[in-house]
Amino acid sequence: MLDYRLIFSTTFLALCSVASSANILTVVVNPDSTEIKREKGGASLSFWATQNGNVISTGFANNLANGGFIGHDILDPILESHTGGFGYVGGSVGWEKVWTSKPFKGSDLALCGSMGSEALYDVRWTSDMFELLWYGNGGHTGRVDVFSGTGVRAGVFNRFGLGLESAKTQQRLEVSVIQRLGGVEWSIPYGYLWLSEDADSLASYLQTEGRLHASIDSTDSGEPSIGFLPSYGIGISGTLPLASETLPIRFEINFKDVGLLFENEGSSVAWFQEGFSTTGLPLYGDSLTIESISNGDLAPDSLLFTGSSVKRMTLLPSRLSAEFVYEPSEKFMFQMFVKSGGWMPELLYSAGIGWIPSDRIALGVEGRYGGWGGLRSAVWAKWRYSNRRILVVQIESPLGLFFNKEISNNTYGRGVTFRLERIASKR
Amino acid sequence: MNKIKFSVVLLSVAALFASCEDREPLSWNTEIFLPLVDDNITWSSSIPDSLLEFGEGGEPARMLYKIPFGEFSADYLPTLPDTLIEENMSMEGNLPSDVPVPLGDLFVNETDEIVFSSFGEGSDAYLKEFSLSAGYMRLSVESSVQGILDMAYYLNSVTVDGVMSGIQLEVPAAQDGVNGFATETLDLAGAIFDLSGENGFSENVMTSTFTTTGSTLNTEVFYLTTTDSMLVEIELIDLTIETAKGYFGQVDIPFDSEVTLIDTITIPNPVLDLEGASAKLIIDNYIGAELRLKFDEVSMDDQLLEHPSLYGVHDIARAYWIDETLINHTSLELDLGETGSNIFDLIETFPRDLAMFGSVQLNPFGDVSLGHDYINNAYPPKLELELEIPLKLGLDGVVLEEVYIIDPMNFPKFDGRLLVDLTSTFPVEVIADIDYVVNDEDGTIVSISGNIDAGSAYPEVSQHGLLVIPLNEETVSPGGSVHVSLTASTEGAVTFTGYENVRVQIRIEGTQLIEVD
Repeated sequence: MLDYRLIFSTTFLALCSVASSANILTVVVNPDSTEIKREKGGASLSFWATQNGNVISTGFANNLANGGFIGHDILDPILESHTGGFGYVGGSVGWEKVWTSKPFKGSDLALCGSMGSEALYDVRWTSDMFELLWYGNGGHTGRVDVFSGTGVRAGVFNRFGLGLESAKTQQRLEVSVIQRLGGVEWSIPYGYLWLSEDADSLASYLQTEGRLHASIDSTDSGEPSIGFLPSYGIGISGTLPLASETLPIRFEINFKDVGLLFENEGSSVAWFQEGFSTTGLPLYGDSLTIESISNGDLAPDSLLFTGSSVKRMTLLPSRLSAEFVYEPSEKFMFQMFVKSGGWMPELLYSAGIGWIPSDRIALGVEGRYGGWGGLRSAVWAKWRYSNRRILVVQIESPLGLFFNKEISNNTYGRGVTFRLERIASKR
Repeated sequence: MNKIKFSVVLLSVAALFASCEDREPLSWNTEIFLPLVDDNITWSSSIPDSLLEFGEGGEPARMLYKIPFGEFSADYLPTLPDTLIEENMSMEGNLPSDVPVPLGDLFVNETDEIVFSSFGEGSDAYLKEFSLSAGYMRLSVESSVQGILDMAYYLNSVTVDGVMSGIQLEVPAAQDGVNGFATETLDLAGAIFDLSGENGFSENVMTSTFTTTGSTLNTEVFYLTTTDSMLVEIELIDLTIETAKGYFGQVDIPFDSEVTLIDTITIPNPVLDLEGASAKLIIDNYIGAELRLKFDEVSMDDQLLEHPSLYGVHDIARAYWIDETLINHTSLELDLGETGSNIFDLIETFPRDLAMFGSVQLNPFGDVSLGHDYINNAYPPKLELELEIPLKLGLDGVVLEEVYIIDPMNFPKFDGRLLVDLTSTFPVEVIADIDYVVNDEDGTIVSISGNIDAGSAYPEVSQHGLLVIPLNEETVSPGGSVHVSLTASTEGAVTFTGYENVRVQIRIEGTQLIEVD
């Protein structure tokens, strides 16, 4: 019996393929135009939720969710997929409203702005850490297990930007105020574990730091109460579209929230550093042990140094992207983009093709690589449901949405984006 | 309508993420390699490093005993007893009547000679100069004079860093029948005492000056009456001589000493091959005076050492000092192993201690230096027994017993083993007995034994033995103790180079099951 979600997806995509004759992707800026109509510019409202990873497959996640014994037949493919030495999982959930007003009277400049919220998370670990956790240190004799680079961070950001957009060129520049409502960070900047070939001596060093960007107060009952500890930053965002007058190509550079976050004092900070070298491992006490690593039950009461952070500046999760679109005919388009930032550990590359069967419907498929994940697919559909309004649905790794189904086992992420667009009027 | 469509899409996608099912605990195995002990057992476990000289190229190591006899040191120094110089200055009979005391002017100025009658017990020693490493002088004055007095006591012939030593004291006025009293102490560490007197040719003589002045602090004129008196006490306390020059006398000092020989060697049933062994008694004299040494008895574990020449008289010349600088010392070496001695027979029994009785006489030929004996306490005479024994021995029994504590470990559903690796270069077969005593209520003991073949330190050939004790969660969780016992047996004496060792490595290997609900 087919799953209802599979039926829904198929039906949805079939509906989207109903074609009409008009091309909706020809809303291209004409730089030669000198006639400025004072109509509202483009706008969009987006919602998205994405999650990607490069080694943790949905099948493995299903196994973890279902419980039971995790054998080497399950773990080995995951370990082998740590090709770059690191495993990543990350993603974001959020919404964003982007708008452009009518141009100022007698000018081609228009007031523009954007606002939105986003929860970002980023988890990364070394393959040695994964192996130590799931396999133990049995196969690790005579080599150094590296922990450096392992970490977790998450944050909730609200943003509001205001700027100007050229109605003629659609070049846009905003100044954004970004609020980090709360967040958490933990990382191991430097750490290793070494066990000699004969498993007769051991050396370890670990530096780790954790920060909780929240305000913690003691209540009358003694239970800590956690509240928001917002910090504010300022950044610039903008769009630089370029279109050829003679060739059917477009190029667009986007940057978002390039700036600094001025972190308030008062974040809870925990830090410890531990190093030891021994020929007989201390099993209990203040030292870090294999056992405590394996069990995850570190009891670092005497290792921890805790306190509150002072004010500091840190980078915003800025994003930078460049997109290239080639439209050889009214029916087809080729699209490529590269994105960076947003806490992604690697550049995200994408290349795809779009089919425009009518002026109301467009469909596309992309291959993506990078960001938090490996090679994956994405499909999108655009439905022009009124003269200037388009609904865009984009699904990344669609099979990954089918949790707990075998069909999703070999996927490493999933993502859904909905966007309502109002097209800028032709000028 | 569009909004409704959009909402349907949103809800549908949200439904895709919904999943709520019962699950069983997540579990997985991890493999554990845990080093616990890495111990290297060498001859250092039995013989202190300072005693062992390693043999090169397969030659036997040598046990070198250099045993100092500390009793041959400070007894030779002349001693200064604690001294009290007391003077009661009474005005009775010395003053015709009460006289006013002039303020700021001396009215008592007395210089005396202090003669040290004896240094050491009953010796005819005399000193011309000595320095102190410690000691102090205390001046106490009790006065019935009804005015404030400034008093000073100087040791004219004593200097510290070139400055004359002395004490200045302000004695308060007597009031209402209560005498004024004041006391002060002077540290004499580093003080140099010139005992040659004012003429520079005497010995044992020290001069001192005592002065009294009416203090200018007095606001009224006061009188020295015929009934006044001043009791002055000078104490020289805990004087410790650092260097001395003079004649130290012809004194006999008995010595009676016992030293531990080789009790640190824990070798079972040892048999020594003493071919190439030597035994010497070495006396180094750093005193600028002759010594005469006489042994009355030398014994090992109460067995008398027989020796053809040891028990005679041994004269040792004086060390050569110029201007308090040691030019060279003198030595006397007595071969205890010469023909006719039974010392090696005694050593073969691995004696625990060596005892000596006898006496040493200072200046056996009298004052031949005419007062130019010299001693520096930093250079005491040394008497050393030097034994050199090649490490060729036989043994039979337990050569090592060691206990290693294993702390409790939380390894759920552990399935593994305790591995004991023994790597030996000892040129004898070693039998290893391992007991793992579990810290459970029953005191469970898991035992295992194994042999390690004879290895070699030169050329280096290691022999390896691996003993495996199975462990599970019940035996590993409470922890316990690993008792390692090594037994060795040789046929006759075997040559050891000193580089032999047994490496003991204990580790745990196995798998545990981690469960997460």
